[in-house]
Amino acid sequence: MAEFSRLFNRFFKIKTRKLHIILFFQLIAALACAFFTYYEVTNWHIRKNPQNNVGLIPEWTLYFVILAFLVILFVFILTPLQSEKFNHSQTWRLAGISDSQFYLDNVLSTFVSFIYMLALEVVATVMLGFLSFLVDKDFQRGLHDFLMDLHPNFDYNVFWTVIGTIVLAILSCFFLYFVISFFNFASQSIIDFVPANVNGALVKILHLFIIFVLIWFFFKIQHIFVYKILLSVFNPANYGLAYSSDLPFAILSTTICNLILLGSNVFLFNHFYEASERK
Amino acid sequence: MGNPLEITDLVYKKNQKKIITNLDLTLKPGKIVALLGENGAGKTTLMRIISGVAKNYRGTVKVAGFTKEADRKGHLSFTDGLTGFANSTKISDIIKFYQILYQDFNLKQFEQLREFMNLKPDLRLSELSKGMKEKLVVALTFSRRVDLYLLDEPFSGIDAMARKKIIKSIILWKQEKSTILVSDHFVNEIAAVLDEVVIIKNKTVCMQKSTEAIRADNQSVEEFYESFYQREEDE
Repeated sequence: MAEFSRLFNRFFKIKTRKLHIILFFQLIAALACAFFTYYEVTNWHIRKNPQNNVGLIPEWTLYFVILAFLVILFVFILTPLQSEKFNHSQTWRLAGISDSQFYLDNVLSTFVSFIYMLALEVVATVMLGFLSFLVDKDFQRGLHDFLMDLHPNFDYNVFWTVIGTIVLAILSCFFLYFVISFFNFASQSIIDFVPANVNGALVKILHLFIIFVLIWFFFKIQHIFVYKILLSVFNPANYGLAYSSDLPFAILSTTICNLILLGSNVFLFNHFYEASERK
Repeated sequence: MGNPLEITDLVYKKNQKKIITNLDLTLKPGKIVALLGENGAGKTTLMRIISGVAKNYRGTVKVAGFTKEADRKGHLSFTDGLTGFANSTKISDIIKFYQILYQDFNLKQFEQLREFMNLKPDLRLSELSKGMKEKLVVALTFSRRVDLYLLDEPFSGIDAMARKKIIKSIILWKQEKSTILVSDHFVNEIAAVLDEVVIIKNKTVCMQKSTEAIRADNQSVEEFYESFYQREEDE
């Protein structure tokens, strides 16, 4: 367990190192966008844009939030790809830990670093929002009006839907990580069985072809598994349940798919997927 | 604790090509053993199998009596090419990595080795020549307290002075009971420090002999290795 947490900390540190730089650039980019919306440059003179009636700081906050969606999507896709590099690295795989634990460490640290990025975005947005509140009278009034219009009405259904959606989002996050690993491990394992005398360029083309075939095959199987098998077994109507929400079923099917993928990945990683000396 | 290394009936195939077949090898504690063979004989592959980073092999591999890969990795130190680090990584960061990941990493010993090898901690990987990088790899490998050290061609492409430094470090920092398996295709560099020679040919271990026995036949290790190949060619 000590090795597990040590490796996790190392992974987490490396995976989050670039996130701070990304956040910094996001802040600068949002400020630049706000600046060029708030001011206009004509004949080398800078003057306030007469058509803009929002303050510079609230504008900065607004652009930051817009950019946050792009940045989060970028990080969401980037981090699992980065973790595949660790899976393939001999330097990392030499750590005195079992392959299963190594893989779990890598996946969990990817997820936690993504959550960390979300937390950073929230904190930065709150701080910018607070700054806007302090310096901008219109923003203060707008926020006050918004809060006055808000009539919190606690509804259990809404509460469970929100919780269910969060759980499904987390499961979907892991689903993406597992699917990327599965395509990587499975295709590389198949390539390791291709005869050695086959041309290198041909092997690369073959590798891509195998990935496409695996993607097609995987989604075909998943569709049959989820809609033909799982739905017939876990259909709420079969058990006399009246509710029509798809959320519990989506959570259940994603959990089962994740477990199957995790099992397959651990098996491939333990028995077939070799570390490489190359970068 | 068993022998530092025991391999029985090892078979490894990749890309439909047999790389190792029916290989048996046992190393006793406290020895410095050369793993010799031509390019592509399977020396690196054998070391990668022992250290658990090459997969899909048949047979038994035991390191200090352990067969599980995680346990094996904990009882051996392998000269990794440090390819898992970006070129901008500083030596000090690599030390941190080793300290965190390997509980048996001895910082004091590393500092002594680093000074002996004239390596500055603030240097980045991109600033190191091939020889300096090889020295760093050897220093990192020997800074761990393990039963088996696997040195994969530590002298490839480096100058005579660096080679001498590395050989000196092997003699100076070797622990009494630990075993070193060093692979190379040039024997003369390491001949003086060897206790045993293992030759890989035709995808398996075809000879394991002590240097004492070789010298008793009035041969140097180099002559023995060369005559071994000559004999094969004559046949």
